[in-house]
Amino acid sequence: MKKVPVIILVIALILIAGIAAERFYFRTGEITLDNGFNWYENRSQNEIAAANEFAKERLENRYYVFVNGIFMDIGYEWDGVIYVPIRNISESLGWVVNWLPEMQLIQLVKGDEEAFVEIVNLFGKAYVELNRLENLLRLAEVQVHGGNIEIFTTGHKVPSISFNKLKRLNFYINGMKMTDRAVEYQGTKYIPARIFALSLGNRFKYDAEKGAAYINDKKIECVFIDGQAYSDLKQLEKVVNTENIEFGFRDFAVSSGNMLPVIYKGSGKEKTVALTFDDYLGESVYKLLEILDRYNVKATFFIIGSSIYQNADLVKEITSRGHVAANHTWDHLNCHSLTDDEVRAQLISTQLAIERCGGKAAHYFRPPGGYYDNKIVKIAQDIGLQTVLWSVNSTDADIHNTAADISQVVNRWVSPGAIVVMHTNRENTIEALPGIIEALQSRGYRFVTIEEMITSEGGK
Amino acid sequence: MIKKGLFIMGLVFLLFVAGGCQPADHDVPSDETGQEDWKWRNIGLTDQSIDKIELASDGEEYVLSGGKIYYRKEDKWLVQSLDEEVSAFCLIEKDSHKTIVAGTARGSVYIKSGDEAEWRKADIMCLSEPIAKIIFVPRQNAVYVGQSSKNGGGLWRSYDEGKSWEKVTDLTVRGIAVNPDNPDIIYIVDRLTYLSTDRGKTWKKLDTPANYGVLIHPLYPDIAYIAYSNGVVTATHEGKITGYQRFYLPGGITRLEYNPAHVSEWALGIWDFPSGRGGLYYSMNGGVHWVEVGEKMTDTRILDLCFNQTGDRLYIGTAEKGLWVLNVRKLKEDVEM
Repeated sequence: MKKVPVIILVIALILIAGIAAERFYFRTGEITLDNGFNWYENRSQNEIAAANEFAKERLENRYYVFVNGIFMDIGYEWDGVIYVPIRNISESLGWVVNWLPEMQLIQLVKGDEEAFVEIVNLFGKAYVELNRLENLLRLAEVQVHGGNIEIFTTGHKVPSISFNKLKRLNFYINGMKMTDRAVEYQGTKYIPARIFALSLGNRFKYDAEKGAAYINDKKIECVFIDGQAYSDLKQLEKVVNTENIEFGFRDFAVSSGNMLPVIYKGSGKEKTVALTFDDYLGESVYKLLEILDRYNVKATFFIIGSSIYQNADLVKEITSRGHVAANHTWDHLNCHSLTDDEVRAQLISTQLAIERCGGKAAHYFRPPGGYYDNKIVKIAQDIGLQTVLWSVNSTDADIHNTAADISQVVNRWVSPGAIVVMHTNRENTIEALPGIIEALQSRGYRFVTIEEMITSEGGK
Repeated sequence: MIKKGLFIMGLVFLLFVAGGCQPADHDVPSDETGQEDWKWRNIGLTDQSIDKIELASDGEEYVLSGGKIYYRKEDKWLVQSLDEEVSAFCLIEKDSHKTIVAGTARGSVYIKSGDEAEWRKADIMCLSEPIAKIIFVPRQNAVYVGQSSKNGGGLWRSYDEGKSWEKVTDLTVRGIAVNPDNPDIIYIVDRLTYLSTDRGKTWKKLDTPANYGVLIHPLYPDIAYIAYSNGVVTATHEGKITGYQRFYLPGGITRLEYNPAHVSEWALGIWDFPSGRGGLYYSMNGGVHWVEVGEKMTDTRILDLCFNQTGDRLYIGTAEKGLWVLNVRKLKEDVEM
C-alpha cells in the first residue's frame, strides 16, 4: 500500500524528465534530426513551405487584365471580390498615381479630377477592388470572362497579332534567358518591349488610349502581339543604354536537365556558418561592413536591385571587401504574383545592376519572403542562379525584437552549415552582430560566404 | 515518508500544471442564452453574408443579406419580400410606427410602412445603378439617399418619410453623415470628402484624402470622424482638419462604429484581402489602443457593425458566417482581466 505514492511519484518524475528533455535538450541547436536540421530549422522550413502553399492558394484565382486590348497586369479574386493592380492600369489611362505613405492611400490626379483610394497591399504592390476602380476612373466598359478582365475606354481594341501564328524564339541578355516569347515577324526578330526595359532597369509605360508604349518617357515603335508591345533591337537600343551588353536569339526551346537543389543549409561536415543580409542598400550597410571587417568575417548580401544604382559605391565596396553580392530581385515582390517573364526581368536587372556598378554578381538568388516553387527555381536556373534560402531566421525582421532577442535566437540555433538570414537597414541587427560573431567564434565556428559554403562543401 | 512523497508529488503536479497548461478559454458557447453570462450569440442567418444591420428601439433586428431585407420575430427570420435586389436600406421609427426605405441595385427606392401590405415606389429620379447608402436622421425627420456609379449619382432628401424628394447635389455619394444637432451640417464621401454648412446648397471639398466614411458621434457631435483605410481624420464642422490618427493594424478597415453610450469606445472590422485574415477589434480609448477580440470573429470578414442604444450589445454582420451579437460588458471584463 505504501508503494503506491512512490510509484505515482516515479511516473510523475519520468513525465517531468520527458518534458525537460524536450524543452532543454532536444530543442538545442546542436541536436539535429536525421535530415541534418535541428528543431528550429525544421520549424523554419515548415513555415516557409506553409507560407508558399498559402500564398499560391490565395493567388490561384487570377485574371489577366487588358485595357483597350493591351495586357497590363494580373488581378486576383479574394473572398469573392476581384482586385486589380491600380498603378499600371491608372497610369496607362493618363492618371498620375501618388502613394501617400502616411495615410496608406493612393491619390489619383488627372487634369482637374482627383480621387483618393484605399488600397490592398501585396508585397509593396497596390490593388484596388475592380468595381471601385470602374467608378473612380469612369471606365466605360468592363468585361470579366474566361480568366480575363477586359477594360475599354475608347470603344475599340488596339490591333494585335496572334502570337501562335509566329515563329517563337528565346532571347538572351549576357547569356541570361530573358524570355522564351520572342518572335520572328515579317523577317524581323521582335522581343517584348516591357520585359526588355525592366530587365535593363528602365521605366516602361503604356498609353492605353493612344495604343502607344514608352521607355524612359520616350515613345517606341512597336507592334502589339497578344496585347503586348514588341519591338526590334534597333528600336530599343535608341532609348535604352545597352553598352557592354550582349544580346542573342536562339530557337525556342524549353530548358532541360536536372533542377539544381534549393539550398537551406551547408552540408554540416565542417563547423561553418554563413551570415546573409537581405534587402535594400543604404548608408547603414557601411556599419555592417565595418563590423564584419573588424572580425574578418565574410558575409553574403542578397540585394534588392532597385536600390543598387543610387548606391553604386557601396556595391563595389561589398565585393571588394570579399563579401558576396547576390540577387534578391529588383522590386522585392512575391514571385508567385509575377509572370514568368516578369520574374526573369526582376533577376536579370539586378544581376546587371551589380555588374554595371563595378561589383561581382554571384550566381545565387533568394526569393523575397521565401516565396518560391519549382517553376521559379527553374527560371532562376535558366538565368544561371541557384536558389538559396536560410536555415536560421534571426527574426530581426520583426520590429519588436531587440538586439538581445536576435542574438539569443541565432546563438541558440546555429549548427554546422547553418545559413542565417538577417536584414540591412536595421539598427537592432547592427547592434546584435558583434555579439553574434564573438559567441559563434568562441564555439569554434568559421564564417563563410554562401559561395564558399556551396562550392566547398555542397548544401542541402 | 509517505507524507514527504505526497508533498513532492503535489509540488511536481503544480510544476507540471504551471509548465504545461494554457490559459482557459473564456468563450461562452453560443447556445447559452437568456443569461447575462454569455459573451457570443449567433442569432441566425448562419452561413449568410450580412451586409447591413438596423436595430429598432424595441430591439427588433433588421438586416440586409443576399439582396433581401430580413427581420426577426419570435426568434424566426422573416423576409420583407421585394421583387428587386436590395442594395441599401434604413429603418424609420416615428410614434412607434416603423417604415422601411429600401434602395435597389437598379436604382429604385421603395417604401413600406408597418401597416402596409405592399411596397410603394418613391418618386425619385436616380440612375439605374445601385443605391449606395440610405440614412435616417431622427431629430430632423430626414431621409437621405446616396448613389455612386461610373455614370454619376447624387444625394436626395425627403422630410416626409419618402413621399416627396428633393435632389440635394449631383456629387456621387457612398457615405453620408448629418450633424444630429444642426441639419445645416452635412458630409458626403466618395472620390473625395465634401462638407455643406447650408443643408446642401453649397459644398466645400475638405482638405483630407479620407474617403471611406464619415461618423458623427451622437454624444459629441461637434467633430466629424472621417475614416480612411488605416485610421481616422478628425475635422471640425468648419472643415478644419484637427487630427490624423493611424491604427497600425494588419489590414484595411471594413467597418468602423462608435458605441453610442460611450464616446471613447470604438469597434472596428479589419481585413487583409491577400492573406484572407482579419477580424474584430475594440478600442476603449478612442482608437489609441486596439484589442483584437478574436474568438468567434477570428479570420472573419466584418461587413457591418451596430451597437444597441445602451451600448452593451454589438451586432456583427459577417461574410458568410451570419449575424452575431457580442456582449460588450463581457468583452470588457475579459480585456480588463
